[in-house]
Amino acid sequence: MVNILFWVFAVIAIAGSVLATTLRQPVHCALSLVTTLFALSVMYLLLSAEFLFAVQIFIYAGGIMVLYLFVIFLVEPLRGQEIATEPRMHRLVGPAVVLVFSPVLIYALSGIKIAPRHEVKAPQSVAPIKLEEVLQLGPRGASDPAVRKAIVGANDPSFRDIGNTKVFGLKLFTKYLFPFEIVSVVLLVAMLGAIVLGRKRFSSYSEEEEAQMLAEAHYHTSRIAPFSGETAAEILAELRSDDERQHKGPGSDFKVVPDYEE
Amino acid sequence: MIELLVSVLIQSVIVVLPVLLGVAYLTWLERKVAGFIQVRLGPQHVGYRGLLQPIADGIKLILKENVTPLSADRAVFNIAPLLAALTALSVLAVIPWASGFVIADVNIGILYILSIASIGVYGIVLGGWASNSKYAMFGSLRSAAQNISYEIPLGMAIAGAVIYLGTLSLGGMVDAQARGWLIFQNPLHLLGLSIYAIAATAETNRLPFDLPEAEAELVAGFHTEYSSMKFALFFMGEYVNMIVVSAIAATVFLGGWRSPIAGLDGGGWATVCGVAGGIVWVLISVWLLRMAFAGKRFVKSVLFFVGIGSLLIVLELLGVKQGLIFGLGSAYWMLLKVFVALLILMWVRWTYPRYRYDQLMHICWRILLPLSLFYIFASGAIRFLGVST
Repeated sequence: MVNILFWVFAVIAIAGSVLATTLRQPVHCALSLVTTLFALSVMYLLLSAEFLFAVQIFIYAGGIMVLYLFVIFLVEPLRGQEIATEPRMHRLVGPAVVLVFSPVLIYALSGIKIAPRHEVKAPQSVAPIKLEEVLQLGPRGASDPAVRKAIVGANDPSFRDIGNTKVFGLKLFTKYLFPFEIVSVVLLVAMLGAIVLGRKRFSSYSEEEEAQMLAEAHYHTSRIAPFSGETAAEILAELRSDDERQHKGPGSDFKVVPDYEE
Repeated sequence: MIELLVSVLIQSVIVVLPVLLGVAYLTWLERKVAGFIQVRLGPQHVGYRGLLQPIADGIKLILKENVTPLSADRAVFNIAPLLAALTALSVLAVIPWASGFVIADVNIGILYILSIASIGVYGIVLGGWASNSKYAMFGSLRSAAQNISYEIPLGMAIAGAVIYLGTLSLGGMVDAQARGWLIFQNPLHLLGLSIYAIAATAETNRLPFDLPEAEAELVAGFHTEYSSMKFALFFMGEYVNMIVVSAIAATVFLGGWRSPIAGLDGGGWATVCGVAGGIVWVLISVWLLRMAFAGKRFVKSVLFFVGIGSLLIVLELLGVKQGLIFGLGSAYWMLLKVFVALLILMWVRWTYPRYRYDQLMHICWRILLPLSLFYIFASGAIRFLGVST
């Protein structure tokens, strides 16, 4: 059963990634990538890492890819406007690279031995398993399906949370605490970078200099339209009142002027 | 192997069919509640008190012409409503509907639900984009941004509750509330429940957070270009989402299928009490409705509640592992809580005006997020200080 699922989702993953590089519409490519990530998360599940399965979908397929799609929407025109087609030659680069390097890759990877999936003896009694014993079963012992089936078969609710999550959390906050904190700092830096890059650009000129430049621009354009000439002081006053209006909110400079005489 | 598949299939049918029927009648309930709040009657003519209205609506939707815009992206246009509806339905599998009745009590239950919810965003995003229309595009972008923003306080409120309950699986959470509902175990969880309620209202795009599908603003938002069954799928996805979100609130914060008083969960005498309590509830609500609206309104209420009760009996008679009577009683409590949560959702919808988009974002990022961080911290602190579950 696991084998069938593995092959099905492996094919889906590879097909998704191939499509992600060959489809025409960027949105279709992003969706193929989502399919690939989904299939990869099922791979995690097949390796008994159910926490990673859920988190991969939650964060990668369901968060990061949505942001990818946002960027694609905002950058690409709505469908109907043509994307410039690239020369045929460029499409051959990818497959060429694969053909050249795959023998090297296969040779390099052929030396790896993957540990065979060993059958863990299910515990005979339904006595509670201590957490230390579970941890001693090895990195995947706690989430081994045979062990978990034995535990779940006891139908005892206190065992429900022995699984990838608990072991994951324990390791993450004890043995791998330092990398965890460093990664959070990295994310913080990324967030700060995004905020800094996306903030409103304030000009490096002072207000008077800006007003002077605007006045000069007005002067030049006022040759064409003589009514729009303003001095720098007037422009500065206008800009200042604009600022005031922004701070006080819309409508703060609105005055009701009756057009009849009382 | 085969019998596992068959049993799962039967259980799925037991859960999904009443939910779909419930979705149809949820629309009827919504229109009735809307009517009563606005001092009018709601659907009246189609069937007795409008009870056949959803069936008429369903037939109308099926018979409508299935329009696809010429320049729409055909494949994505067809997939989007499926994503919205199927992700909502997939969550039903992990919710414990009665004692001993949960289709798949995975040990990462709540994490699975949050993952599926984040896939549901694609239905909205792609629906708007594939329509190739400006209003749909704006609506879908806004709705998707709203959705992913409110996933954060939602997840954090759930995380705070999970810290306290000590387990990710929904069945385990209900078991951990054997001492009492989470909100009774510690009043801090009322904060969690409030954060969850607000975030869930925003997640399901319900008023006061429904700017993305507001008629006056964006025609119909991301489902402008959809008609007939695709629109029905979006609609159904939204209502199933409502049911799911209420069920999660009931499971995590309100004790799932447990009764508020210990010992009334299920079992012969307890079921009698539960059913008697149900009848008392019906009578009280009947009396209240009569006070509000002079006239023979109570017949509708009794019919509706009797209908739910018989549905519940059929549901339980067909497959509860731990015994018939216990299942009956506990399913009653679960459905009661889900129903009350749904009523509150509808009540809020027809009471409050819509939030503007920047107000919406302000609420999420500057109010709910700090509150939920505080909730996680406080929940962890209380748990750490030695309250045992």
